[in-house]
Amino acid sequence: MSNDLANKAALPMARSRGRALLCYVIAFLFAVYCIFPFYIVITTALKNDREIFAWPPVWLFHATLANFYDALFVFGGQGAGTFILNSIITTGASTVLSLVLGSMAAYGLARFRFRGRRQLAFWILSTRFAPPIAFVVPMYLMVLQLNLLDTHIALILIYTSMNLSLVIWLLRGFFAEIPIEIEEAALVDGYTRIQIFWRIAVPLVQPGIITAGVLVSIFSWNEFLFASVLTQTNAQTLPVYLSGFSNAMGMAWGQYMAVGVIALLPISAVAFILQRYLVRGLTFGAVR
Amino acid sequence: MTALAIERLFKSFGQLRLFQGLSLNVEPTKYACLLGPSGCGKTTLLRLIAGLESPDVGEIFIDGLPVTNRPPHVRDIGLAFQNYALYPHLSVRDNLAFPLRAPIRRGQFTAADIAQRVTRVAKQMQIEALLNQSVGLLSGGQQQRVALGRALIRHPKILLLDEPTTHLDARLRHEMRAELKLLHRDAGTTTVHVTHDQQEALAVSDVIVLMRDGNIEQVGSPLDLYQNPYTAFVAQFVGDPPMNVIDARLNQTAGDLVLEVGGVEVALPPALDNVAVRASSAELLLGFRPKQVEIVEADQPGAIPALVQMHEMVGRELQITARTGNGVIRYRTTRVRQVRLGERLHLRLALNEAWLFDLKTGVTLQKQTGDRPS
Amino acid sequence: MPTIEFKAVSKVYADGTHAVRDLSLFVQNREFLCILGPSGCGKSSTLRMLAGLESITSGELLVDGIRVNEVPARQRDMAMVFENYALYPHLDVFANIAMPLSAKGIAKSEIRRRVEEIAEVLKLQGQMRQQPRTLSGGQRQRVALGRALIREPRIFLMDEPLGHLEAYMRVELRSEIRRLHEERSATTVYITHDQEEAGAVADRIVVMEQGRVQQSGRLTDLIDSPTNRFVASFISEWPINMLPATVTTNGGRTALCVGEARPALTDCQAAVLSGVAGESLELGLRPEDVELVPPGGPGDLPGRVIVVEPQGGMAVIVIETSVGRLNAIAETERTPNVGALIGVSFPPGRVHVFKPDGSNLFARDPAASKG
Repeated sequence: MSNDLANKAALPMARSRGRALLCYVIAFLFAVYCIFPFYIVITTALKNDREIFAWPPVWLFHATLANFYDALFVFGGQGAGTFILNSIITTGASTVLSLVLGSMAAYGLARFRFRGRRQLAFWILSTRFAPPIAFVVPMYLMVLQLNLLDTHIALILIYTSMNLSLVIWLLRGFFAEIPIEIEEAALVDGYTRIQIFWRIAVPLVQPGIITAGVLVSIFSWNEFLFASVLTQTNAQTLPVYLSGFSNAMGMAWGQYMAVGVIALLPISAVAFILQRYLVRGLTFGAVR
Repeated sequence: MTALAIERLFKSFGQLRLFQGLSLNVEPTKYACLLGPSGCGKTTLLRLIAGLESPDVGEIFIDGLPVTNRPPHVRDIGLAFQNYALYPHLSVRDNLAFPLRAPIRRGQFTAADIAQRVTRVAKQMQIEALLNQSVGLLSGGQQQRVALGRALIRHPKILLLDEPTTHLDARLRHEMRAELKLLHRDAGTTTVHVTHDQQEALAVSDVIVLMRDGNIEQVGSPLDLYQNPYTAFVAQFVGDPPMNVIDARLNQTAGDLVLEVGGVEVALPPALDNVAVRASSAELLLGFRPKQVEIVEADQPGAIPALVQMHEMVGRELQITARTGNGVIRYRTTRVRQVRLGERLHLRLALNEAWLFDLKTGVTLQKQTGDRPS
Repeated sequence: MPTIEFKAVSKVYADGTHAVRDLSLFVQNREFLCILGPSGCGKSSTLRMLAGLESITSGELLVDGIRVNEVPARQRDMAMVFENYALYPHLDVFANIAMPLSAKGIAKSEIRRRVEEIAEVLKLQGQMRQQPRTLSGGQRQRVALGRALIREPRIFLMDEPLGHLEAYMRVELRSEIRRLHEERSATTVYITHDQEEAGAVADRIVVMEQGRVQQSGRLTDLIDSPTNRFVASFISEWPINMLPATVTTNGGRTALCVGEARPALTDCQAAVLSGVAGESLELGLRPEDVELVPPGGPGDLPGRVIVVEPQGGMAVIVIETSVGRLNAIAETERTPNVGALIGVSFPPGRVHVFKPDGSNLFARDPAASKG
């Protein structure tokens, strides 16, 4: 009898080993597909012009940081430094603002019962339905009227408003998961609702805040459409700067890639460091 | 002055009218249990006392001060939740200290005060070893102690406990009961404890408030509720095994009052003679303990025919549930015998003591001691 | 009506968990057997192997003497009632109960007759057209019972059927289950973690822990003569008292020492204990067996009453002694006051002594430990 079972057991094993190998192969190919562009960007940034255009491609090369130096300080008269700074300012400020405002709105939606709550929640979600390009012209006109063209403030406000719905949507689920008794305990202990929000609720949705923060940062950092329309020299962000990289002599690939690497670095680093929270955050609130 | 006074409380939830004029007083240092089946309103009453809900109409006074509609933190209460509700992101120490660090109390406690109180409470709750641990790693029993400690750390005027032992296993439950009693003896804090477990209420309380459908059925000491139940409901709710309550009839034969159950004459204890005369009708309810029943042969005097509905072993005793024409009788005996379901038995009642209740209202016909419920 | 026999059955899951180890168990014809144990003890796996919902890793399962290891579930002629009712949510009560019969192609009129008969027995006549989600927990469980009953199976299997119900409903339904078992003369195997429930319904109880049978027998046997510490603690109306104890043999006289106390021993008990002199043992005594006597008696354990918990006709007395806290049960009229000094006496017939490995030195019948 046990032979019988053993035989039955042996077959699926062999089959599953082959299946596992196939899975690994597919996963490997997919990984290569994802990583390859990064590889190209990083290696090109480190090569000099001759090596960049060599064919067949040169695998081992002399890594040089000349491109980075050019890109940061020389190119176009001032280098990429200012634009990196602009990106940091707009991304950072809009992230903080959308997290603060969004978390409070999400808490309100999760905790308080009021008339029209459902409708409000849906309306907030609905702001993501329309393609952003539909709003470019009206936005431009409004910003122009307010004399805020080419300022950081304009972009910060716009990015915040675009990201709020994502933050609220994500955090509402997290806040709702907190057992209400914990907040009641804090009420009994002598805390006001605002204090409970900051000291109890927010710490408890940390994964959600980190996730929302990372997603919002990525969006703001990479945003191109509004940045290109609304900024010129003063508040121009990195993606816009990158797009104007060709000059009379054709694309300066080396320096272009170097700036690309610099553009990639902060966000990749943040996402990498916080990936543990990201996974938890994305699955946690989603099951609602 | 009472520690807790509730006057003419009204509370509705949508269509459901829960409290319709409920009043209650609890004396200082007393341990009071709010006992009742689920849905009777005991937890809602506790939340009203705590300030987590507001009454529609009515007044609540703590230590003589009106607190109706005022927020929980000015009521000087401590509340231990059924699910403990500990702050998951804080250590045990910080959980205990949290109430003392509330901004509204800034300046009241120095860091040294807080540390001292935390140590003292931790010692009381026997959780000193756990002070630096994160609460997520604690067992149910340990979490319970932290919740209790947090409720006590401000030396509240009233300690409120919401079903504190429901989620503990049997052994821990018994242990916790003894500990709650000892704690109360040491600290003397007025306590209001909500439970659906009559065993627990009997074990720990000075006074039990038995509730049913939003009304207070009886208020009294454990012994009071057991020996002098105000209604048939109380008689059947309190005590394990509960009292048997069946229909009976009073007959006048030759000037004497005689009790009859299903055509069979049952001797009344002489003490109840002047009680029986108070009956408003000939039909009433008779209450007696399971051990006052014996199985006899059919031809014996006082033998009431019954059909075995269920037989079960409870510890070393055999419990038989039998249906008679007048109601269900539960009988426990240490003399274990073979019983079949549906077997025909005859039971005789040995009523050295008995309880009589009005058939329509369920209210006792006997003289009442203790508080009149509202 | 069939017998059931497990012969050295083991169950190992794919992830390596040893759910059941070497189980040997015999269920008599028409017996109501209860498998009792804490969660994770293997009782559910055992039942599922019996039903055919799990494969048997090793050993033999015989029904009426015939090996059924490989027989698929639907051919085993057993009906199962689950903890979560497992009703078909899209069908009404009538259809749920009729389902097992519809599958067999029985005439519609016959199906109707049998379903209505069952509905009457289970008092579901008013709910026949309702869907499960509109029913209460107790009603749903009745429907599940009905669905099991209608097949008129030889064997009933019940997996914690009353777990999700309120206390009064549990009491009501368990008498119905017992009644159904007796009326149908079925063989029933019933799983629970609640020993009060087991005592209420079972003819015989099998206690399992960590995949093994710890003891099997009637409730009174398990109470009076537990084979080990686990059974003694698990089967108890009141938590059993466990006190550290040692054995001394002075000049041929064996004495059991519990703090200051020297409990009286029968000759038989003394003989058993002489073999374990010097080992650290535990004395177990149930609160209902503790005898409270005036303090100062030789051989008694002195203590002080620290808590009295009234329980109506009797009270739980908590006593502080030199070797720990002890619970005793006393009648209300004879309850000592808090603070009173008292003596604890150990009736020889009720005392258990446990070795460090948990086995009970005073177990009366070691043979009763196997199913």
